[in-house]
Amino acid sequence: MEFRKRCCQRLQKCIVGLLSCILPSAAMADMQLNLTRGVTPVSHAQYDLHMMIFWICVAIAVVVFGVMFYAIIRHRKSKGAKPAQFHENTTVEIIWAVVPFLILVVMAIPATKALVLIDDTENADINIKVTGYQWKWQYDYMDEDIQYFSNLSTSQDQIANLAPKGVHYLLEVDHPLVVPVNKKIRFLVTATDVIHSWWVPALGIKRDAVPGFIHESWATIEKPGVYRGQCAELCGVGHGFMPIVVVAKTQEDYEAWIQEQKDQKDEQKAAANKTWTDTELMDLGEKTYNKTCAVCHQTSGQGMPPTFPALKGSPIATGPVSEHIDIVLHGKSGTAMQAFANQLSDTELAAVITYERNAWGNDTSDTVQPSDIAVAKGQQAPMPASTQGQMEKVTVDVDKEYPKEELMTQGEDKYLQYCSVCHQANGQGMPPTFPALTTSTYVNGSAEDHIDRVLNGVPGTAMQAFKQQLNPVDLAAIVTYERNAWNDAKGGVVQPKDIVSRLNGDNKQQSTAQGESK
Amino acid sequence: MSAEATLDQPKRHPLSAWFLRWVCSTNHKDIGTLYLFFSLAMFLTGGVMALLIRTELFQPGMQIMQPNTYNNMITMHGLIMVFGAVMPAFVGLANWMIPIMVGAPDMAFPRLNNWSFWLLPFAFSIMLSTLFMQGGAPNFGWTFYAPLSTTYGPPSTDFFIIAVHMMGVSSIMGAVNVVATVLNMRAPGMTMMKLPIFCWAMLITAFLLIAVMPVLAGAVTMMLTDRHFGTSFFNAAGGGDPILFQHIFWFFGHPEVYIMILPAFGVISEIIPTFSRKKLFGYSCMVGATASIAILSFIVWAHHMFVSGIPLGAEIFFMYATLLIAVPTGVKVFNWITTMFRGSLSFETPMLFAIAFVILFTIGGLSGLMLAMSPVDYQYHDTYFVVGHFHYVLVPGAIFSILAGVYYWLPKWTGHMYSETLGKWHFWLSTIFINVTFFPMHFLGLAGMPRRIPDYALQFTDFNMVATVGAFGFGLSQLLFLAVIYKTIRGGVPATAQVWEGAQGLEWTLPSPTPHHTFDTPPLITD
Repeated sequence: MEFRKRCCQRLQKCIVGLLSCILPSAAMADMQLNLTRGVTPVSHAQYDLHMMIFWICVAIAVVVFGVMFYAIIRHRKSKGAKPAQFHENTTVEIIWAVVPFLILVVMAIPATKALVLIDDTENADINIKVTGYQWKWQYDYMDEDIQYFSNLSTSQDQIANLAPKGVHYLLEVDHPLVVPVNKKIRFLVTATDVIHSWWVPALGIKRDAVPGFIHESWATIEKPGVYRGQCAELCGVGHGFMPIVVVAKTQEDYEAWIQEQKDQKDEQKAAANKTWTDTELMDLGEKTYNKTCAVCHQTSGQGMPPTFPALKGSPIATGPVSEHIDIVLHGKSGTAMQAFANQLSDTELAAVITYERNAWGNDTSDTVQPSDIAVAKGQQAPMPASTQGQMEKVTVDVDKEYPKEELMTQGEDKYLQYCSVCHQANGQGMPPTFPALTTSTYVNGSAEDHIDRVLNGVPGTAMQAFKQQLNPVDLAAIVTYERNAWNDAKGGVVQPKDIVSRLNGDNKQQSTAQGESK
Repeated sequence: MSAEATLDQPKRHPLSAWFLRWVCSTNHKDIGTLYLFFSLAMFLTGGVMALLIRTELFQPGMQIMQPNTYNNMITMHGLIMVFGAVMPAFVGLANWMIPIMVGAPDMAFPRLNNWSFWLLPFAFSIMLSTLFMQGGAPNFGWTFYAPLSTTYGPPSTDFFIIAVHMMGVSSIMGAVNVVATVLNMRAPGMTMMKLPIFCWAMLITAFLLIAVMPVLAGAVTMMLTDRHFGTSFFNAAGGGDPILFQHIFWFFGHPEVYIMILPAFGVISEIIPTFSRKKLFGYSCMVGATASIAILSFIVWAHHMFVSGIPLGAEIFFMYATLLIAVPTGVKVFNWITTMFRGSLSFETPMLFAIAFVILFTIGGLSGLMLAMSPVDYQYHDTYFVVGHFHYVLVPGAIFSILAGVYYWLPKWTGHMYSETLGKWHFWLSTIFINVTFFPMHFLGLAGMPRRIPDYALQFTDFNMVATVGAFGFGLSQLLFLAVIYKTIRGGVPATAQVWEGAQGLEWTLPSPTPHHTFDTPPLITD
């Protein structure tokens, strides 16, 4: 019955749709047929060029098709046309090769000028880093210390046809990019996972966001307004659902907005310190989940196995809280699961984890507070600090110079415990998946590279990041062991303080610490 | 007839006779037929996928499938149409026609020919089987950009890789066969400049295939090692570069585009003179233009990558090189029109398809000219404008030329005339609906609709509805084509050897249908 009703509705919609094709509908009136003229110098140049080539093409088409239709109408056999005998003429061939060439030259000159204009990203007033994620954008105001994510704000219900669609269906976001008018804005476009493309037609910008590379683009927006765009490079399931909204404001409004962002940041910090009730967490969690997690794991928590596992009844969502927090904060390397530690606020993270642990019959009745997240994040710091006692011990250990023998003994112990499963006790590994350490360029190369490899792992491979798994002393011991065990003890000694300096260099990019270790 | 008699000398079980005839055949005509039927089957499969895509896009909101299924469909539609429908169709035409056009008894390497074909059904079985695998079929578009296809690809990507390898091997062997046949097996007296223009087109295409299919093989192999053996060709974190993939892919991909269109030029250049009752205008320029397009195709690949962050110098170089392609392409169009000019035109179905080809391909070529303009490509790139452009050159371009060729040579193959009425219905419905489908896509692209999205904003609704209606019209019209083929094979007015009043060339000296073995002794070409 329900099905029949839905079919009827669908049929009705189809008929209406068909009719609207034939009859000019109301929507037809404001339907855009041509390229937008846009609001930047680049988009104007593009529009002018577009119109120029368009008319050139129209002219060529009229001439070419004109001659053709003349022949079709006049030279038909049914009208008694007798075929002529000519079939070669070098002069004509040369003419119709040269004339198009000249037309191309005429087109190429302004096009080259426009390219030079597009390429000129120098002397920008504002720098904004745009990072593509599956499937959202992050904006980073490099001069202001403001970063945030911009997600699709159209509800899943609208997409699933369960709610009427809004005017800006699929072209609306929770946090638009806000920029001032009449300032040269330089966009630094990159991505974290796959290639995306940041496209705002009115700005005349389309730039591929390539993971590992930064590409530049620029815009000087001429008038305040809201300009919408979309990701233009297929980037997976959510490719159609990561729009871009740019709000251009006057300079005063823009400055007010910047101030507002800074105030909000303080408020957020305050929110993270308070204790939230279960219902508050569940409400915020559901919202955050549907916005951030549901694309892959689905609103129902069923996921899309095997690529996107179900959360409903999953060992992570019903197992120990710490592991759940860990995977949400740091992602899972080699999979589509991203690290959300910097994408969401502590409050949102706490809420979403609480939600996942209690929704869809995962009734663990655990609640995770923002403060728990802060603690978990704190463990990323160089010195793992799960208990007070251990922390003291580690602090003392780190500063001490260890004798080589002690490091080697402890290193062998830890190596056999953590590394030998893959790299084997004899260091030969199991190539190609688990490379040999005996011949490795890292183990035999500079100590910094070796340490970094152990600390940070190799994304996309089985090599994990060990910086949070082991304390600096153990890490130093393992690295020392690896550098000396199979290589006639030539590798030198790595002390815990070297590890700490690499960790700090990693986190804060302090050149002093790096200099020391050299 | 006599040919049949030699084939099944001892009485065999019908099934084993069928098996011997079709599976073990080394006869160029049989293999040509197999290629053509295979291509038809793939055309219909890819077409059904296109209709599913258009159904999903009929109106905003997710309608009949999940976004991932949508991505599976666009990927499979592209791969099947390019590698399964268009390329095998031209190899089929080449197999059928080249030996009887150059007066050879068969292709140069008949057994290789058999293997080239029989790799394809297996390759596509593997490819299509991914639709039923856990994790779904490849979902990264037919261009399979890394890292979406490497780190983020579904498990079935490995099956896709092996299928692409098999297609590549098949194409290379087919191409080697064409080159060897055209260069070595021409009848005495047939100099290269007397070679039928279709053979020239296939020869040049074959060289392109031999040059670029190994590049594609390299690309998918690098993907495979990135996925499983810890290399980082396309992974910046390991010192690689995702853009490298695009360079390699398009170094294959752009010549690939011409692999799909140069044979079409050849077919059209055969048909237009026949129905104009006039020799092809500027034969040597046509050959030269085809060769120039082929050579230029190797230095324009990065025009697919204008927004990928290539440096200014590269943008300018690739823009100029791309614009340059308009010159030889223009020469071809002008020559076709001049061939028609002051001819004695008649409008049988093959000629209608050929004329539609010239017009609609030119429209596709002109939008190509617009796309070549790098600064504006910043707006066109990856939008429906591009989708409209390449469907104009591929559907009323490549596909129409194949249809034209089939109508043109079908009487020669089967010995029966097809039904002209059905043929004309097929032509007019196809031509009208193709424009209803693809023309609105230009507007959608200009208005800002990105390609490869499963759902879209409200302002794109009307044109998408129009396109969907057109797609169903075009799809259903192809049922007429099936009817034409079925009826013509089963019977019809017997065709003469000449078939068409204005037809010239060795193939028209053979009786219709062509005997199973032809030109056992080579004919002598005198004129």
